[in-house]
Amino acid sequence: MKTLLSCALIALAAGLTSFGLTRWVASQRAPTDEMAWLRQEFALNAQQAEAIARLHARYGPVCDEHCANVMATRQRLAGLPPGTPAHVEAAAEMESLARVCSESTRRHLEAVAALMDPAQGERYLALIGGKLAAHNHAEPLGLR
Amino acid sequence: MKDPLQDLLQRWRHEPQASPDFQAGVWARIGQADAAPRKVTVFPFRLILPLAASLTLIASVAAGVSTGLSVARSQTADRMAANYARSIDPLLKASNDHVHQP
Repeated sequence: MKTLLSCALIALAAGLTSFGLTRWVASQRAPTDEMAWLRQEFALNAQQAEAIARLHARYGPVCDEHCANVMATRQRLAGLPPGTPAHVEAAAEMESLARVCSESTRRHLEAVAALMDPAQGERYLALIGGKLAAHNHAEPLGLR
Repeated sequence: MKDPLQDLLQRWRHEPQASPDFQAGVWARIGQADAAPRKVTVFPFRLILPLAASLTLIASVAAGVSTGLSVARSQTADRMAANYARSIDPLLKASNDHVHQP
């Protein structure tokens, strides 16, 4: 009985140690760059990775411009007293900006997915679309 | 001068008598061994415990490694997907105060 218990405890300790070590080693070796992760996670070949990197480079400035507009409108909105016509106007502008941002993000995601193999593209849309919907969009992005 | 002990040793003869029940005792032991049921060891049962312990250890390590890999992969995917989403979504980017702050 004592021997069995010792064996079970040793096996449990070995299992837990191997779990911890494997998890640590795997996390140390995980990519830190988003493009490297995309390449690995969605099994992109060199051509697909290059095309997606180009797409990201083109989309970057557009995203930054939208981001700046959102920040400016948010700041303006925060400085206006609620209920005033200026506040209502700024809120409407914010909503419109949010729609524009969602639309441009959706288009970008679909363009990236279209460059992947179909199954990987679907997985990409589900994974990233899910993250976006969970974070800041009231509704799903309507990705196809 | 001759040593008398040498003469005595040369003359001395020892003829041991066989024990009267020696032969009977030997045959009796042979008979007992023949009559006893023979044990044919097909599987070395004494190895069962070490074998089971080794298999349990191997299974436990294998389960630990595969679960560790799976968890690490899932966590990395989750973290990287969140980072990536933040890098392509203006609304998420704008939520990070450090970006585009004057």
